Amino acid sequence: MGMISVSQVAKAYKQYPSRLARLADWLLPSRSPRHQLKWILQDITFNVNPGEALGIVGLNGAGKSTLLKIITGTTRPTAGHVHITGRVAALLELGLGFHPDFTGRQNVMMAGQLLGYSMQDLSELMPQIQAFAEISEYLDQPVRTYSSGMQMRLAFSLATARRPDVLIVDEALSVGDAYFQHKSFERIREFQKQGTTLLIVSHDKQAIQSICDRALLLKAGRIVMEGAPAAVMDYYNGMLSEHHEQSLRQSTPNNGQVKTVSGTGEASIEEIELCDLAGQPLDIVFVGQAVRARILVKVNATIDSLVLGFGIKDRLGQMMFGTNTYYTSQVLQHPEFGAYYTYEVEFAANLGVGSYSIHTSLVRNNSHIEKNYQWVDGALVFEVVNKDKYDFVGCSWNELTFNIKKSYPILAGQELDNSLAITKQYAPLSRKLVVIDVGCRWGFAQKFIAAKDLFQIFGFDPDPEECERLNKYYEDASILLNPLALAQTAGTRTLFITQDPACSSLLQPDPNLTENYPALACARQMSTTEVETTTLDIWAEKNQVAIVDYLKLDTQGSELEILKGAVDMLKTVRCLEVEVEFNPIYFGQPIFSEVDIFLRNQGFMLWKLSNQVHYSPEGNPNRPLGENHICYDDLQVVKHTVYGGQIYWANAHYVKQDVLNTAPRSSKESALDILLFDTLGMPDVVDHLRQKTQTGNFE
Amino acid sequence: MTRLASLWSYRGFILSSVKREFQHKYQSTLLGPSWAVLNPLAMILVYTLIFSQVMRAKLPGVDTTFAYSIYLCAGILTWGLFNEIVTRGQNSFVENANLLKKINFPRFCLPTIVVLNAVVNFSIIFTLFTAFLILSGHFPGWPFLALVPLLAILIFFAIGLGVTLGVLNVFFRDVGQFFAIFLQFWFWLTPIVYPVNVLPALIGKIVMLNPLAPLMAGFQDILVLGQWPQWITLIYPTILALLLCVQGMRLFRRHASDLVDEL
Repeated sequence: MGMISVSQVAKAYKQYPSRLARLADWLLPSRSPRHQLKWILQDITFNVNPGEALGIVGLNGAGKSTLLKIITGTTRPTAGHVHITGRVAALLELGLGFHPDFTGRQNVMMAGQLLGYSMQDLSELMPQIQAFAEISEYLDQPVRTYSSGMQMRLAFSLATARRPDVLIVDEALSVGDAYFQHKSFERIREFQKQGTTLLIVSHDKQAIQSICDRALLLKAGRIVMEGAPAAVMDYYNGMLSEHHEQSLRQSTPNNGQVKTVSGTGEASIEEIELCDLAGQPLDIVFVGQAVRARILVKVNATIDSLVLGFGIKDRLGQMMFGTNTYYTSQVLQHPEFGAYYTYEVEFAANLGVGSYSIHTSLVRNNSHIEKNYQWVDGALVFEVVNKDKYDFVGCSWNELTFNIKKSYPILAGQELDNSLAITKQYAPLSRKLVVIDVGCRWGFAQKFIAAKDLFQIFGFDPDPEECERLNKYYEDASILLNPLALAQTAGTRTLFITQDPACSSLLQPDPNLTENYPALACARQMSTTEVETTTLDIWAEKNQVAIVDYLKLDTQGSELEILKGAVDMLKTVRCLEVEVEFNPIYFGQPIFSEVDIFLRNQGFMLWKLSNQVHYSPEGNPNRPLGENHICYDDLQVVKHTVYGGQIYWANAHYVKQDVLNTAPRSSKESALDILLFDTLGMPDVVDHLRQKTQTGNFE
Repeated sequence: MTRLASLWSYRGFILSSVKREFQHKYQSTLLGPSWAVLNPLAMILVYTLIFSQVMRAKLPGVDTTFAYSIYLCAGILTWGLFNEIVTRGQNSFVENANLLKKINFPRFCLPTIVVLNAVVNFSIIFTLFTAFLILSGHFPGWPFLALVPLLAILIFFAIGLGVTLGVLNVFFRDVGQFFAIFLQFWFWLTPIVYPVNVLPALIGKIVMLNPLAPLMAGFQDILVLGQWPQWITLIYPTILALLLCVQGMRLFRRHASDLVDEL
């Protein structure tokens, strides 16, 4: 596991008075060296245990980056040694030494190999690296065309493509937009959860406090403080304003939270109290409660202006919110020497459950860097509890409402975009494609739903309840369900309700099969009912549906009847999918050859069979007959494992001969056809159409 | 040994760097790698025209049309290999400062890449040259094999020098500047364009102190005369090459820790 142990590390640079002195030092043996040592780091000793996260903070030039370079081994220490176990990934000074003239991809391959990935690993990781870095088409551009943020994103996503045992990050995350910072911190946190040891150098308080378990403060090459991140950061902040004679002290009051006071003392906070609006002192505050902080300030010297800063910090020392009287335009000009001023701060405790502290500062202007009279962290500690709000997590309270509505995912979105792009090369779409699904119990294929803006879908099922359910489910004007039973003629027929409602049919199930073939038990007859039938042609005329592009039929035996009642409709249909039987399951059921002859006479030709199903009386035999039943389905090769038994049914896909004939068709029609067949997952037909149609000749 | 082992484990990086560098060199050119050939070809053409035609120089003892061109090639092509390794070698650490500062990897990868690159470039042109020798009926026969040890000595000499200069160049940038000029003199002080025996005897002896002179003489013996080189003269450059390699390694080892600080 990843662990870092740094013992007695020191680093000095040789400083020569001149170049010649260095040359002399090299060439002439001499007792006294001609250089001086400039110590950058001295006596650095610490350990980072497996899974721990250590933050290193310090002013510029404190030696943080040098320390990281020594730890990662790019520089050697003058004294002491570093021991690291486990796989290390390091991001030093933004980037990984990318070569500006090579493309992002080439750089990933080169730097990746230096980081210890193999070529094969890198090829496998490449899509993931590209996706995480979000540089898409830039990957094959030279790195010199990248912004610094893009370089950093690529470097980060390469260095963290696999979870390392030790992750070392130097300031890298301060580059790039807030969005990517979030994303990379998310990944760092994820690694941390899985046990990665972290070493982070940052100026960013939030980063140190929210990620690290422990922090080190470096000052002029030495460790001046080591401890909880919040305390170290407070000390660091105090240090930032230390360039006057200021006192900086930390004390640990009774409640365990560290209180840090610093400043030059021209003004001081004498009392601080938190109470409700009625003036009752509080140390427990309810989520969302309106509270008031009362702060008594004494002016100890003649000063020209006084600003009070006020903020709330959480247990980790992260500022929840804070502002000052400079920003609210309430600067006290020339406060009277020796006088007391009371500040009352009212706010709503919109905070998460937990322990918080009040931070106050007395400064001259808008920041504490210029003149810091007094700076108090952890002046007062209070608890926030949740009394009357719903449970929530996080550090701020924000009343939210959920609005829940059923929707369907845009699954085929990407593919659809591709289809559309191809289609639009030919012509703009002149109308919606019309799809009819007869026997649509359980809903429609996802591919149509995803593209419902381009399709008008009509479904038919004799069961009104199912139709109502589906209408409600889809709740879309593009999808209409008709609770109608279809046949060759209008009239009254008997509907045989079966064990599984989806097998119900206008024909009577053959009990010989449904009793003896366990897999066919679903079609066992349960009851009968009388239904009114109509035909597709009658329906189309009544509803003024002039064109239907695609027809799908699965009605347990009555498919041929329905087709015969749709002779007019079939004139416009370009593609047809029909379930066909090779051995009847229902009495009097027409079989494939009859359907085929009928459809050929209507100008269709058989394109393919899919989903061949075999049944055998032994029930669910587990002896596969082989994988030789291959068909193209939904853009990929599907191999059906065919099990023992007689073939009963399959789906037959028909294409209108017109679509494939050699006479060129108008580009408008072709555009519709291409979209249709692409959506149906018949790329072979699409190719055929594209060969036949010239692009671009819009009519 | 451990150094060699670590180089081996970074072979993927080294090989792809060589490949990238080669690609990069000709990436945005129309003629691509043919430039690697055209450049020395032009040089040979210029020298052949000026010296053999305009100045009517003839090689004493050899009297064929191509003799002088072959003589030139024997020297210029091998000098090109030497020159590339040394000049690229002396800049390899400086040029890759960015990488050295950010990733910890065996520093010796960098000179290795330089050498491999130079060898690739050399192989391309030398293969063409060999083809020319065969086609024009000047193929030297068995002595051709002696090129292998000769080239090895040349390469080791160049590596030793390149690494030494490479390390020095990090600390004293003058080294790079100076050596660029020095190479010009060195080229003309080596019997590449002219045969050594056109010089006065005394100067000829001084010129032969140049460690590259016996090497070049060896190449010329093989390629022009079809003779085995005079092995005894090669002892001197071999020893010098080994010394330079040892010295280069020592220098590198001693200053490797300061290297990154200085960049």
